[in-house]
Amino acid sequence: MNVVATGSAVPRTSLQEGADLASTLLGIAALPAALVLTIVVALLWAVRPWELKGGSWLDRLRVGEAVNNYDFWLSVRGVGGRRRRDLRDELRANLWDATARVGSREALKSVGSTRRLAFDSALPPSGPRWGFGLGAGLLALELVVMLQLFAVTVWSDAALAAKVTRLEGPVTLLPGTRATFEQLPSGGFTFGANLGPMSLVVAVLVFVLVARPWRLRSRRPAGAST
Amino acid sequence: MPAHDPQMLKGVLSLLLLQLCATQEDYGYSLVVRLQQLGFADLAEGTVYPALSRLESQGFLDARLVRSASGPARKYYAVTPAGTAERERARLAWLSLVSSVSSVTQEVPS
Repeated sequence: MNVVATGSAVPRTSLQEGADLASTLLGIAALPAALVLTIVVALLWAVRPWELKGGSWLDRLRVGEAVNNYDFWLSVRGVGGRRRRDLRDELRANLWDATARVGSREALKSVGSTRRLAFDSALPPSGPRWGFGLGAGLLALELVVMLQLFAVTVWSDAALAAKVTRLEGPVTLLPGTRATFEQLPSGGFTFGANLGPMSLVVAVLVFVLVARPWRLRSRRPAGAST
Repeated sequence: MPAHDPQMLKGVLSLLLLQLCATQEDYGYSLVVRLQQLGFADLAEGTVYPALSRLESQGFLDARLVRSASGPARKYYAVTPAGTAERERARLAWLSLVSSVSSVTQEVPS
């Protein structure tokens, strides 16, 4: 995997610097706002209080949050797809009925730990977990590539600060990753990287460890999985 | 009335649930309330729901979703023919256990 980027070290005017400063400040303000907004939307989407009718919003949020926790522990247990959705919806309906009768605090107290409930409700699947493996593998690929790009950027900054005209070499601690840096006659610079097979190797390794394909050999008969 | 021993209760919970579902198709929380009204006041929902899931996956209970005015659809359980047979087996096992335990506990020491 090869990555190339260019930059400029040409002296800038005060107008350009002012525009850059405004842009930077806008970026600084926008980033936390976007982050908070994303978290709020993600929480509401996970809790789904609009699916419950009647009752207070606080009750809806409490029940929704408990169901969301239960869903998380079911996923940790390896329960996926329709089975997980069924269990989650059933708990939501039962909790909401209990809330109407005794209040959300008492209803949640009576259910107890959602982790325990999830682990008692479903046995872990006996076969490989291809979906989880794929997700974990892609996440690992993304994280490693981001790490490599970050390291190459730092490497290029160091080369720029050292005022070298051209530099090529490996990036420390990231096997197989090589970076190049070159000052351009116009005053700008360019840098590139060969990321090598490291990210793919890590992604495949994570995929295999999470998916556990060796479970194909000791799979339980269908119908005995939950 | 003293509180029920949780371990003993766990042992007969399947029988109780099969019995209740045999008399009337019902959903999780309603079954909990019925059991509490029948004397199992200390029964936790966290014990009943997994038991219902297990009975369903074992083929002893059949489930269907019924729309509810409060929002999410309720999952109603009914006993299957296999569940009826299991209920009878568990009932006989329970009676046998009670009989055996009674004969020991009521024995007058000589």
